Formats: sequence, C-alpha cells, structure tokens
Amino acid sequence: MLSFIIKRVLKGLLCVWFIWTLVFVLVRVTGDPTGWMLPDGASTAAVKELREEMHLDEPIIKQYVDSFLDLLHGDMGKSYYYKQDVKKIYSERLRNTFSLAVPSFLLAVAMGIGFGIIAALKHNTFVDRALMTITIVGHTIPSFCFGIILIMIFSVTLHWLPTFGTGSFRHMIMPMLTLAWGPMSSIARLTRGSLLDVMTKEYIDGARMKGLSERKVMVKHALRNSLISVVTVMGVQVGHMISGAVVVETVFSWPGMGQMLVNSAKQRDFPTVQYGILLVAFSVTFVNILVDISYGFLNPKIRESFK
Amino acid sequence: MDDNIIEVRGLKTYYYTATKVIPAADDINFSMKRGEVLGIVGESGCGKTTVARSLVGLINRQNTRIEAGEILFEGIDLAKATPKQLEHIRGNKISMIFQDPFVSLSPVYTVGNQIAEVMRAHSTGKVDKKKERETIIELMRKVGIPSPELRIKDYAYQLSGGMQQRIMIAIALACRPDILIADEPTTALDVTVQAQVLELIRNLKDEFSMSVILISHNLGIVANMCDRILVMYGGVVVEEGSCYDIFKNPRHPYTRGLLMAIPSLKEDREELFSIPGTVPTFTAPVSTCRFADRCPHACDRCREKEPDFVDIGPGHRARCIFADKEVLNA
Ligand SMILES: Nc1ncnc2c1ncn2[C@@H]1O[C@H](COP(=O)(O)OP(=O)(O)O)[C@@H](O)[C@H]1O
Ligand code: SF4
Ligand SMILES: [Mg+2]
Repeated sequence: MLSFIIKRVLKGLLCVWFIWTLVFVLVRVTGDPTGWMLPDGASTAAVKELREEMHLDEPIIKQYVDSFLDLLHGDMGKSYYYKQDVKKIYSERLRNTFSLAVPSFLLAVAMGIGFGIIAALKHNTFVDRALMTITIVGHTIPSFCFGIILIMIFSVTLHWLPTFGTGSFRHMIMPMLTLAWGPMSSIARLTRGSLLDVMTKEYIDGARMKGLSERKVMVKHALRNSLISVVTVMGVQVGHMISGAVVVETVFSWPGMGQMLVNSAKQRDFPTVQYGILLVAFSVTFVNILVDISYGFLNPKIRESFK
Repeated sequence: MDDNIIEVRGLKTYYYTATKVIPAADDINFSMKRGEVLGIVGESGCGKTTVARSLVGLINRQNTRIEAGEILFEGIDLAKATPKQLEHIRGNKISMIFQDPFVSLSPVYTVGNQIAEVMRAHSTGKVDKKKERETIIELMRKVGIPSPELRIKDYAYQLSGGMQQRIMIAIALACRPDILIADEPTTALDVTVQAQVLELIRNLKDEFSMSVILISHNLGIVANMCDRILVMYGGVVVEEGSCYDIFKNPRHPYTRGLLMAIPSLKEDREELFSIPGTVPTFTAPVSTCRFADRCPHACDRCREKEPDFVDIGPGHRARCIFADKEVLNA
C-alpha cells in the first residue's frame, strides 16, 4: 500500500512539473506583458529596456532554469501587475475558490449519485426519462450559459438572488448550482448506467437467492459494486470542476483563483499564471491520488495488488 | 400424496418480448419426495433455467409472467408468493447454485463474508462472531475446501472455478435447505473437476437429507445421480420417467438423440453425434409437435396439433404420437 502511494505521488509530481513547464512555454510564446506595462506609443528602446529589466530578453531555456530553481526554493516570483509575492495574492483567492468548489463538489456527488439511483430504480419510467433529460441538458449546455440562465430567472426576473458578490449563503446558491450542474449530470448518468449494468449481473440473483431483502440486495450488492466505476471518474470530475470554476467565477464575479487566472493570463502576468496553474495542478493531482486510493479500498482486486 | 416435498402443477412461464410471447416453460408438472433427485435435461434454450427460476420467484416481473400453474411447497403456492415469503424460503428452504460460480459470487466481499450473509439472513438474534466463524470454517471443510481458515478471507477471483463452485454450495447449504436446485453446476468447470463437484453434491444430499433438482444439457451427467428425469424440449417436457426408463426404454426421438450425444457412451466413435439443427424459439400458442423440424420421424400428423402425453408405463410417458409404436425402433 505504502509503495503504491509513493509511486502514485511521484507520478503526480511528474505530472505537475510537466504542466508547469507546458504553461511556462505557452504563455511566453503567445505574448508578453510589456504591451500594457508601458504607455501607448512607447519607444522601442523603452520596450527593450523593460524587457531586459524583466529578464524577458534572455533565452527561454535560461528563463526556465532560473524560474525552476526559484520554484524549488519556494520562491514563486512577484506579480507583474500587483507588484507583490504571488503566494500572497493567491492565499485569499484560494480560500474563496475552495469555499465554492468543495460544497459544489459535494453537492454534485450527492445529487448525482442520488439521481442516478432513482433513475435506475425507476428505469424506463417517466421519472427516469425526466432525470435523464435534465442531466443531458447539464451535460451539453456550457456552464456560462447555465449561469446566465440562472441569473435571468432568479435575479433579473424574480429578484430572489444577488447576481454577484460573496458573503452569504444566498450569494453562493447560483454559483454553486452552476458549478455543480455539469459534474452532477455526468455522475448521475454514470451511476444510473453502472447500476443498471450491475443489476443484470448474476451475483445480484445470487444475493437474492440468499433470501436478502430487495433493499439489502440493492444497497449492499448492487450499489456497492456500481460505485466502483463512479469513483473512478471522480478525479476527472474534479478537473472539470476546476475549469468550470474559471467560468463561474467570471460570470458571477466571484473573487477566486479562476477569475485571477483568467485576468493574469490576459495580462501576460507570467508569475501569477504559473503559480495559479501550479496550485490547480496540485489540487487536481491530490484529489486523483485520493480517488485512486479509495478505488483500491472499494475494489479488492486492486487492493490486493497494493500489497 | 402428502409426502411430496414440492409439487408443480401446470406451470407456465412466458417471456414477453417486443415482438412475441415465448412459452419458455409450458405446462410443467412434477413432484418430488424428500431425498429424491430429479434431473431436468435438454439442450440449451429448452427452458430448464426458466423452470428452476420460476420455483423461487427469480424472474424479472417486467417481461416475465407466470401465466398459470401452482408450485406447492409447505402449504403455500410459490407462484403467488409475496416477496417476504420468497425471502424466507430462498437460501433457507430452497437454495440454488448457478452455472458460472465466478459471476455468481460478489467480487467485492470475501467468501467467508458471503457465507455469513446467508446465515445471518435466516437467523434471529445476535450473531456470535467467533461461533459464526467456526461454523463457516466447518462448512467450508465439508464442501472440500482445503485450509478453510485461510481461504475464508479470500475473494472469489483468488479461487479456482471448482473451489468457487464449492463456495456456492457452502452458501446454498448453510441453512440446511430442503431442496437444492443445481442449474448446470458443472458446465463452466474443467472436466476433471466436474466429477468431483457432482460427487460432492451427491454426498451432501445424503448427509443433509435434501432433495436435489439437477439441471444439465448432458444426459450423461444426470445419469448416475437421478431417480427421475424430465427431458425438456422447446419449453415442454417431452419425456419423463425413472432413470431406468429414460436410459433403457427411451420413447421420444429427442430423448434418443440426447442419449446418442452422450460423450462417454460413444467414446469409440470418430465423431460425437449431435442432433442436427438447433432449438427454435417458439411463439405462444404452439400448435405442432415442437420437435417436428428436427425429428427424423416427422409426418403431417405431427404438425396438426401439439401431441399429448402417451403413457408408456408407471411414471413413464412421452409426448410423441409414435411413443408406443414400433416405428421408432426402425
Ligand atoms: N429474460 C428473457 N427474456 C426473453 N426470453 C428469454 C429470457 N430468458 C430466456 N429466454 C428464452 O426462453 C427460452 C428458454 O431459456 P432458458 O430457460 O434459459 O433455457 P435453458 O436453461 O434450458 O438453456 C429460450 O428460448 C430463451 O431464448
Ligand atoms: S410427434 Fe412426430 S415430430 Fe414429434 S417427436 Fe413424435 S414423431 Fe417426431
Ligand atoms: Mg440454462
């Protein structure tokens, strides 16, 4: 088990490093920040001077090595725009994102599994079809559309909920729903499919032949087994959730990491983008490791191979 | 006859598909006494599993219906039993083992856990974990699992097919049922293991003094064990009789075909005989002899209506218009 975790963590770190490198190169080849940092019509000499000052004139390999060494020392750099340590800039943003993303994820999991079970138990009935229609909508319409629709209904028309800002539970309702909707839909559809599949398995009849009640057959045998495949996609869903957060935070002006990432990417604020991506990569990797471990916990065949 | 442990009368179980109604078990009649072994034989698709599952209510009510008939067991009609009544009977009074033990065992619980589950389902009061463990180990030893105190913690995939089927038998017998239904219990196993598992069932039948319904597509498998045999074809019983009747005086062309297809009896043959063609799927109602398309003796009369049973002797009858004629011996 321990060696499995160590291997998994090393793999995760490699993945994080790869993503960081990719972003490092991508942001640099697609533009630089001197455009907005200098007044319009600045002389080429002034641009050149600023680039030199920011070490942007150096070969990309040298920049990369320097940044990487800084990174290893825990120095994440200073934001070009905010002129302060990026770690400081992100600390509150990170908290805001988590306070939105974690409840949204729990909501998505709870509702997704719940709806999936109901749909499977009511297979081929009106309830099943209704739930599947709702979730196919969640699956296909982009989250910014969904967010805007919510705003139109609950803020503009009904005046029930504020369109943006933080501070109370009412502020969270729409961003949370928007963020949770996509993953909830995927989890619901997957739970339903996997439960329907498991219910055709012979060991379900085997369990019935023991004289267990239908409820016990469902919970202890069908559900338990179908959750194995649901858990495997949780990690993917967390990934979706992060990209969703970028959109949702922008639509609802939620002062989180996603919003910050978008803005700093637009501004070519390299250190800020890189650190933001690093945080995202770390959290996704961390969750995926947790998912793998819990997968092993649910599936004895994998668990045995840990030993 | 009061000493019958189970009595099935006129059982009809039909499947409803989008396009047709399949009479997979059509007017099945039999009864069993305590300790008796009944064989149900026929090629794949003849309705054997349908009969077995009807007995314990293991049918999907969305597309399957018991159209008619009674399954009398301990004073209740299992064809109309409530879910609660069925729960009480399954695994407790009537147990069933399936063709493929690997897919019949849950992949995520240890085998010990799965044996414990059936015992707990039918015991009232608190479980004494230590005693329970001893009972399970004892049971595992009884079904021939070596070093059960280690194997108790294994998962199904860690055991061989033969061992898995022994676990299924342990689960089935844990509550000392009156009837064991074994649906093709050896079909998925290696040839070398098949005989051992059959031998085990035979021995345990005596020890637990239970009745056994042994289902197989191979007459040779049921030969050594059964008191009575039902030969099924296309959803109906085409011949029934004692083991002796079926082997020494088969009166239905299908039974004769099955006998010729037994591997061990015809070892010296170049090629194993098999009845040409396959079992068709019928649509209710059927108005012909179901075997007519494959029968070497078929004539126009065979297709006028479904033949009735012809009595051959005590407890021996066959559903063929020529059953008591010499034509068949030609
Ligand atoms: N769930 C089902 N839905 C529709 N038809 C079925 C179903 N199960 C079995 N059948 C049909 O019923 C007939 C008998 O099947 P079965 O009882 O499994 O036969 P056996 O066990 O003798 O192989 C076959 O023609 C099969 O196609
Ligand atoms: S009734 Fe006719 S077709 Fe049917 S088994 Fe007898 S001879 Fe063959
Ligand atoms: Mg079968």
